[in-house]
Amino acid sequence: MTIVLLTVFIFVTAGLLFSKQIRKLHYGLYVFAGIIALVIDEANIISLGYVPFGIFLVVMFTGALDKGIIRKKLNTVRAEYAIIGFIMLLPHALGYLLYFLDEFSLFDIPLSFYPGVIATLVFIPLTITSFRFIRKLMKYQDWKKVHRYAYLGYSMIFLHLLLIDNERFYMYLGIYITYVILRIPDMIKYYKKIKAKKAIKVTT
Amino acid sequence: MKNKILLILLLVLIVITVRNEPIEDTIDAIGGATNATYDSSIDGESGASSGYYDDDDDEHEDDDD
Repeated sequence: MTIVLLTVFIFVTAGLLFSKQIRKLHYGLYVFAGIIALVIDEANIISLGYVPFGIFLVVMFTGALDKGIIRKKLNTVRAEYAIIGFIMLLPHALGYLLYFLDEFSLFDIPLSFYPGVIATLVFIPLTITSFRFIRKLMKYQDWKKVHRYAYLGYSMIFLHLLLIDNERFYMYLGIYITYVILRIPDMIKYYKKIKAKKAIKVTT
Repeated sequence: MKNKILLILLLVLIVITVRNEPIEDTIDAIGGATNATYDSSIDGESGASSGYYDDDDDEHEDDDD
């Protein structure tokens, strides 16, 4: 967890101090993350998933923060962080996918594998639509609809981690429960909005 | 309020992590070595699998004979 927390610290600090530079140099950062992802050929903190998990934690919890300067600053680099996180997730996802398909039959694969695969698949369209030039091609409502699947992706990441059932189980559980608690007010707001919209439609 | 909850979570995680994870293991892991704290096993606790990136070099086990 030290590496995950260090990653969170580095990315939050960078987001707060260098948000403009990150936005400006985002393609360079993607290439840099891609090069790191490509050259990996053995177990390390990226291919074991610690670094991408730390980046996704920043992306996740940015949406759960109170409105204010911290949220505003981190929101401006959220898309860039999500893309970098996904690029760094690829060596982990592909490495384990190849390993499991190679070593296990479909029914012998540990349960934690499946939510991991689902999370990766969910994040593919989310990452593509996080690129600003693609986002500009979409209607905001459509983009928002697609990105609501991020919650499924986050849940699958945590299910994946919990099913691994290692000594960090309670830490992962604590993080996920905190996230859900923090998002409950937004969920209530969202469903109230939908209800109100439906009520207006019925009356008209 | 949300920020305060997150700060508390962060502090709890830092305390648990510092108590449970030796700093040497973290330095080793950053350097590219796997260890008890940062291993590559899928299910280290239950021993269900040996995991990906097996460093045992099983292919050459017989070479010693």
